Amino acid sequence: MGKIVAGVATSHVPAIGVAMDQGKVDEPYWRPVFRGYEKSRLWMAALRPDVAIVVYNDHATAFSLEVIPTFALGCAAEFLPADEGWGRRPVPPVQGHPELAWHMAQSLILDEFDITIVNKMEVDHGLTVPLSLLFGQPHSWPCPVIPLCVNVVQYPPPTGHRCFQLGKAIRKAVECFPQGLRVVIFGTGGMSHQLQAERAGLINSEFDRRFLDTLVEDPSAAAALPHIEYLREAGSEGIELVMWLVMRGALDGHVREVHRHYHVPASNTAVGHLVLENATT
Amino acid sequence: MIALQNIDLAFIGFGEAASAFVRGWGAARPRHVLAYDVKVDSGSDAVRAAKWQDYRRLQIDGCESLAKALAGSGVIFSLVTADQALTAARQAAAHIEPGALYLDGNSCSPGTKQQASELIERAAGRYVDVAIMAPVHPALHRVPLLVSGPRTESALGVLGALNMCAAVVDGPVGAASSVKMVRSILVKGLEALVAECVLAGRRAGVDERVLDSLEATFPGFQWKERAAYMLERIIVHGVRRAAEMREVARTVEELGLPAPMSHAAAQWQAKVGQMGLAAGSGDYRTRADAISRTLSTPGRETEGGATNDYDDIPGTYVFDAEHSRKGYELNMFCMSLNHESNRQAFRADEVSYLQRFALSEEQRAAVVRRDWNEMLRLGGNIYYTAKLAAADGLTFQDLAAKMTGMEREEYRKMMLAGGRPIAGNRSKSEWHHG
Repeated sequence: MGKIVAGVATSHVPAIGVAMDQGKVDEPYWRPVFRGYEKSRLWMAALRPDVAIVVYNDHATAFSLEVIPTFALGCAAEFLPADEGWGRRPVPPVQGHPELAWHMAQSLILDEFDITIVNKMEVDHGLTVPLSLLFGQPHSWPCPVIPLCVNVVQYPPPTGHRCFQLGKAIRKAVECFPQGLRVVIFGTGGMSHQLQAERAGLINSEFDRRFLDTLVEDPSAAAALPHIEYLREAGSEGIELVMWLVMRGALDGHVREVHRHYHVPASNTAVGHLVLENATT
Repeated sequence: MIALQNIDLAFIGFGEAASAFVRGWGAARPRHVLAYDVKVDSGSDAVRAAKWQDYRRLQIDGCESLAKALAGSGVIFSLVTADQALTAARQAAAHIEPGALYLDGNSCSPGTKQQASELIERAAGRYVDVAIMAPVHPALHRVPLLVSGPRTESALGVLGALNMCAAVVDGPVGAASSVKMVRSILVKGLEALVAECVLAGRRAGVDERVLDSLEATFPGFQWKERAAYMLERIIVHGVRRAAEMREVARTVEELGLPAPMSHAAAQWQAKVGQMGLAAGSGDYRTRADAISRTLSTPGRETEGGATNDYDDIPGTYVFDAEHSRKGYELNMFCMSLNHESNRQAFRADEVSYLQRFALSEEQRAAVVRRDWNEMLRLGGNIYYTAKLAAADGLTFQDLAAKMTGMEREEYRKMMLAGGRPIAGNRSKSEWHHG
């Protein structure tokens, strides 16, 4: 029987990846961003998960406007880091876990989540930046990774509630996998940011801090936030936060907050980060 | 003594109160718990499904019809909305088992309760006026109840077996309800008053001072926390509370008094409840502002005649269906720049590269001019146009600075200082005022 052992939430700002790749993490601008991940990296090294499920959104990389899946699960054996328009990140290829991924696909679909199965795709900063933040810069990633893409580019993304329910279904799928895998799940993106048009640069720390509290303590209340709240209060790209609810749904109602980090800014974005464990484990 | 395992109980209306009771009972619940809720007849698949899910979650037997729920049930709780209480009693009278105890827990005027009582008693049911005297959360089944009418002795027996807290109000059917109704003049009326006060205070920019000054006059009331709670009640339960408030007004009028305050409170409750807003976070300001915005943006028309709740956000293009259709070719052009060979071809000869895509003249011109906001207006999406910016050697932050009309350094400083604040940037109306 598989088990979700922990959840991680983190922003996936592309500039964070660039700063790591270019060795800028100790510059005064970046130091406060990365300092908040030091504890998490030690925690992750001690946790040694067998698989990581990373919930992220593709940013016009693997999916264009030709096909826009709401939920797409990566079932391949390998995913290469993509050229997103500024060259490939110098990070290792991502090894998948086809057995668990296919098992999840079947379980989720029979559980009435009509996800898209993906056998070939490249992965972008949405997935690789969180891996870098939690695993550092190894020659190969320490565990297989299952990418789960959520559309948050084309409006409307799935509701927070739907994401939360999907998280519960993922947990169910993992728990009926015959092999005893220890799985960590990442919810990525956010926090408040707006990249576009005249309101670009919007940050709403009050919203972000409240979202962190609510997500930890009262996740179904966080899941009830309507899209308009994210769009208006957290910026047009802040709606990525619905993906954190997938992670939260996969955990117990009561969780232990191992670590929290919040910093403004990284480029245009408020960086938020949580490490959560089920209270009972 | 009535034993729990001999009780077969049915709920008419399975909403907040009924769910709270079942949750509170836990394993110590009656032998059978059945329910009928009109939501299972809803035209909306989602509403129906949610109700059936409620039943499953609490492991009770949901029924497709009232008749099924009442067949064999010796105890019936009626917990519908106040305006449906009499209808529920009328329908129940057609199916109730002789001798069944009908606990009418709806928030109705004493007159309404008496009418309901006649219907049930005529059908050989035993009617009890029940008033729920506090919010069901967090007390659940231990919420204080008042009961009145000729059947209170039987009612106390059953409610005792259910481990519920009931006290008798002497007098006929309606006596318990009049305690609740008269209390509601203040409780729900205060919610409406606080809403009007806080909304006005926010618009005038004086809400902090007003609430601080109230705190000085009524120390310990915790006006800000209370305001947040009261607004939450109105936002989430306003429709139901408006129905109750109309019953309160009726109670006042049955007593021969005018009830202008209760009527006005019902109007506020209904107006806000119908907005369908989410309660959101726990701050009174956020809640008041959400209400205020909805009040000030009545159905603005867009080209297609539809309105979107996000149209009022200033300086923002939500990438919805309309934008996506308009911008398809533009975005696919940008996407093509993910390939180094295409970037080179584009740099070598922009005009002929652009001919590979069916852009409109406006879109082509916006690309050539690098008019980033115009591209968004014409259906571009920021994640796509960022590819064009990257091909030009711009970072996301450089691009953001250009779209806001700021110098690169000035924008960077704004971000370092905490970013563009949310205050003053929520609504187009705030931008038009400068």
